[in-house]
Amino acid sequence: MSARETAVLELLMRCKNRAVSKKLVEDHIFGFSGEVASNAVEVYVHRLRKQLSEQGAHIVIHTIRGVGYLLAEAK
Amino acid sequence: MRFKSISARIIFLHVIAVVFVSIFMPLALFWLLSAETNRLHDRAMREQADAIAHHLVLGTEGDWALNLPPSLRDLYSKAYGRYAYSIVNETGHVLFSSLDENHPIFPSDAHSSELTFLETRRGEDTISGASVPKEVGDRMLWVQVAENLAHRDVLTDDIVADFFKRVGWITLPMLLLLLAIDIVIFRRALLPLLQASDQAREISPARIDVRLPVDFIPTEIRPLVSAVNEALDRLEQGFRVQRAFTADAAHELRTPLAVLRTRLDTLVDQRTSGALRQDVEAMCRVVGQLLDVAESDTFVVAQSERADLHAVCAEVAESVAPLAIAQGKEISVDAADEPVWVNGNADMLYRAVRNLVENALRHTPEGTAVEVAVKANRSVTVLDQGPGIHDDDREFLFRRFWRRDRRGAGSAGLGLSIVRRIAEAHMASIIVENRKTGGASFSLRFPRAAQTAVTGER
Repeated sequence: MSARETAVLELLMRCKNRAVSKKLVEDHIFGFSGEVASNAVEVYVHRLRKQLSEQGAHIVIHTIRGVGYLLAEAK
Repeated sequence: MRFKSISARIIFLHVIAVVFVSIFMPLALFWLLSAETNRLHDRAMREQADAIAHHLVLGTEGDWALNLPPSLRDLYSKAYGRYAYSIVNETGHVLFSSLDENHPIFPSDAHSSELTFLETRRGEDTISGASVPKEVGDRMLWVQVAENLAHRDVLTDDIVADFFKRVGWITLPMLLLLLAIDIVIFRRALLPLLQASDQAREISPARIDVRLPVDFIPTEIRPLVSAVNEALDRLEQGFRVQRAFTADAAHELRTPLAVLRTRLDTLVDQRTSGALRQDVEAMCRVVGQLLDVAESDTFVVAQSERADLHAVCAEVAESVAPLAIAQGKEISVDAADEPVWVNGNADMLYRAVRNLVENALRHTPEGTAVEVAVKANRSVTVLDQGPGIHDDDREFLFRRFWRRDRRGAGSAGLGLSIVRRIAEAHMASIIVENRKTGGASFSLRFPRAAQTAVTGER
């Protein structure tokens, strides 16, 4: 797991059961400076989901379209 | 006859007055004119009698002589035929006469000691004139002068006889003109009342502070307007008391509920406490909504307030998302990146959209999504995939405390009434539709913001 993926997961876990806006995720991992590829966050989240399911984790990252992401316990 | 409108009544009465006056005014004028003509006639008769008497001479042997100058003689000539005179002595004997007959013009009552005006008939004609007593020396004579009215002066004749045709008609158009002017004046006088009516139309539960303008109201009607304003004052007072009560009651309920919630956490029996906690949450929601109702009732959007619908909807979705996920449902916001500015209060709009979304979440089945669509034409649409709106329910939807299913917990039936109230305050329209694919769609459409150039706010 890359440092950035870890950062995303950390943020989502800290905000567990709360929606986290995509903007906030971007700011968290890139800071306020750099140019960000528009789909960068999607890519990290996609990789995270894959790893979480591979590891058999009991948490799921939901996409709230138009808003951001939400990490919740799997049912 | 009864009229609903004051102007109709006034115009009706005015028309009656016009008809009345247009009949009686010419009659009165005609009478006055006739009286004046007669007065002139009487004066002329007296003057003529005086003139004739002036030429009477009593001779030394007691015989009378009348030396009329030619001008006067022509006046009384039979050819002219209009005037006649006769001079009568005490015994009623005619001394001189312009007529051939040897009897006086006015045979009876001719021996008054004063000037008398007399009238008699000669064949078809009316003869009118005066008898003037004249004392010449120690003898009394009566000079009678008369005019045949059949030969009256052409001018006088025309004026009097053709009065109605030539002059009398003018009264009718004059009075009609007066009527038209009156109508205009009356309409103008009523104008402030119409303005007051417009003002009154704005008074609603949300704007109870509006009062009717008294300044330009005619003094006759001012007591009514003032009384209405005073009645509104009292209503406003009552209204405020009631609202304050709702708000206070809701507020007062919050604290005991919060205490109840914390006490539930300390219960050992987890199953019971879980169920009870759910009930308490439902109550908290209702109390919160009651507060929203009380606040939205008095809420008025300030002219300068601007809100970004996109940001409002994103915020709502963010806060509702955990609830949706917990229920196995989804929520999404469908919007362009640009902000959508409207004239409105962000906090109130948040409550409106949140209530719509919560309502949609309640009705959309597990595994489906609630979609919030924000469009650049200043509209927000909340779409669900539930059973849709039954036609019979449409009229009740926005009523307070109305619920389709009265057993449903967690909803007091206040949400949509709050939505409507906030929409009204923003002059937004609510459109409720059933989607072709199933489910309901609630749209809020906002009017164009007064100032378009809004940047850097929020």
